[in-house]
Amino acid sequence: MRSLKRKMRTNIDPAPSIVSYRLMRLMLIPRLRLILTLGIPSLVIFCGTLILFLNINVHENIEAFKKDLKRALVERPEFMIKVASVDGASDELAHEIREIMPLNFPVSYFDLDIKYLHKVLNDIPAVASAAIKVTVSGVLQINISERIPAFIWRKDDVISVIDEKGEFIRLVTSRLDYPELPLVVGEAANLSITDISNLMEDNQYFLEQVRAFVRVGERRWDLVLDNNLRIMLPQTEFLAAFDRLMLMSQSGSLFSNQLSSIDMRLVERPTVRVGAASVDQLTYNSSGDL
Amino acid sequence: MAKFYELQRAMRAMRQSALQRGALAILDLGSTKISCLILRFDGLDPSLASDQVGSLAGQSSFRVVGSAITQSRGIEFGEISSMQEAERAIRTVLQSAQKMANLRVDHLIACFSGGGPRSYGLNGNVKIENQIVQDEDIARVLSSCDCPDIGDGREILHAQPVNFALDHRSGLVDPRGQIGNKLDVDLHMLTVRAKTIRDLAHCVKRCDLELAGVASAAYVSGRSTLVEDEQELGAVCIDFGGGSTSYSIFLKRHMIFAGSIMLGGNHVTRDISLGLRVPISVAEKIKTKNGGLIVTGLDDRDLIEVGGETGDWEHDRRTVTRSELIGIMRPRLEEILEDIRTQLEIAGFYELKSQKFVLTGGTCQTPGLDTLASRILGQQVRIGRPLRIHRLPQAYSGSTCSALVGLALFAADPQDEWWDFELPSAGYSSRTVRKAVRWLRENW
Repeated sequence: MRSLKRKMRTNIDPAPSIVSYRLMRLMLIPRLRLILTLGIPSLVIFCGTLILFLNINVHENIEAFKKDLKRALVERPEFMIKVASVDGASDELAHEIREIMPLNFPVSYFDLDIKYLHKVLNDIPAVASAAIKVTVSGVLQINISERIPAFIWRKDDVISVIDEKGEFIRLVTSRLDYPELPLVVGEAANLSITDISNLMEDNQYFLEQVRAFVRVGERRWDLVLDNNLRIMLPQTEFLAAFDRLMLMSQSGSLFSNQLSSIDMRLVERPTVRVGAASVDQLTYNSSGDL
Repeated sequence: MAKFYELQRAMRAMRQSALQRGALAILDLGSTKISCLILRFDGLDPSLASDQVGSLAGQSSFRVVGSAITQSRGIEFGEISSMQEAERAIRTVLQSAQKMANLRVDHLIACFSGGGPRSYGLNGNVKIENQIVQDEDIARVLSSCDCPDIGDGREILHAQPVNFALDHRSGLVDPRGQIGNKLDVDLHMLTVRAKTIRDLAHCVKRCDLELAGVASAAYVSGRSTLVEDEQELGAVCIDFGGGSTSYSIFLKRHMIFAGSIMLGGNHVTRDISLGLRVPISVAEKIKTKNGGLIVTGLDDRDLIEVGGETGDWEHDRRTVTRSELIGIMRPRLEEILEDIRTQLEIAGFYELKSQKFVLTGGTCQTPGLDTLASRILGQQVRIGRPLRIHRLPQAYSGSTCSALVGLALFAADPQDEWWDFELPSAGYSSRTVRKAVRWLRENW
């Protein structure tokens, strides 16, 4: 029976075909071989490159293709950020941050300009510092440390909140938005607000009576008490002056309603002004100690 | 004879132009193998030229750059029997040799042992006009040889002046410049069947090469295996090929006789195949591995596995003793040697003073052939290996390639410089005169 399998050719003719023989002989012509192996390929490559780069359409297509390719890579779901989570900010500030953030979610990690975002967040007055990181699960984690309101600052008719270093936080419409904060008044009062902070460190109890700290002439402080008593502090060494005032006040009711102002500008020679309502009593008690 | 003179001149001119190209292919068409060398002629090798050796008869002017060998197909008894097969075999060797050389070759010189070579001794004489022998006298005496009837469809392969005689002063190598009245020349001429050369030329042309020369394998193997004094004093080189055994007698550095018999190593193989009832390939293997010619007592006990693939266990497990194998091989080789002896006797070789026998070719590797030959042919027998030529691969340095190496030597130094001399124009030839007369008759 004849085998169904194809017979293996055992003795293949070792002789080259006449075509391959002639081709080999052609390739042995040194000049022709040089042309075929070096000349023509380099010419083809050169011409091809020239055509490709002279033809603007092709160039654009290549650019578009490259862009598409890049998009496809960048917009893979693994690289997409879907939500942002803002931590450490008050609701109001968080809302503000969400509105101001220049992002439309979902956004790719590669399209995210972290530096710019950082700058934008730090430019928000209420933000002391912002830390941004991207978690593995595609969440943009923004950690905010907020400025803590310390003073209400009124200048002319503008009321704003500043922190203890005098940094502006935000404008407010009314003093009553932050009733617990002390009031600071005057031009450029925020620049030397540290003076007040220092003052308040030790004299918390006394200063609860203070209605407002008034910056006078951008150089010295006046303290206006609840009973409209004005304490005028010197430009320099006002802490010493204040201490002296405290000493003076221990001897009697210095801050009673009878005085309209205490002038401590010359520390050696404090001056008081008696309020108009108290003048009669003074005349009556002219020999009494003040 | 003047036509023959022109023919030899034309062949020499073609060979010279091939040498000037600097590259030449050498092809040996054997009945067993076809081998090819690519020679590069690029002047003298400076390392050889410096030590005052000289040109070494042209051997130092070339080097072998490519070589290839293949089993021959379509060739029987040293001549082409199937054109397509032979052409393919030639193409195979030419391609691999050219690839190895990384060189394109356009000219080819080939040798073969078949074609029924016949030797003729020719004689010519001429009277010298002005006492001193000059170049044109040589040319005239060569062309004056009386050509015998070489037969229909035969062509001259080699023709060499082997001896000059001037006024009965014989044995001159170069009579130019000597004074005398009558110049004689003895010419040796070798003819082969024209068909053999035509077939070969056709095959070579199909391979896009030009045939720049042909040579007899007997002659070229003598050139490569006989040392100088053997060539000078007289020796016979016997080339035991596969399909035919050829021999050439050398004297005074020239071939004076050549011939071949249509028996060779393939016949021995066929005898073994018939005698042991094995395929030719198995017989060839047994011959090369275990063959021999001289029986010793040990050979009776030396069992050779014959092998076989018939499936018949008894048949496949046969063994023969080595003496049986020798008993098959020896009669055939004795027959070959006796045939050669007969032919040498006819040629008059045994009249010569020096009777040296140099055996070469593939079959001469049979152990004991030199002993056998010394019993049949004559006392002084040796196995000849070809001369070393520059950059010849080791595989080609054996006695199987002596014709190939000899052909390379022949290409570098062809021994036919006589045909360079210009034949004096002895008036107009009769054909030209007849033409002129006819033209006159027609127009006047």
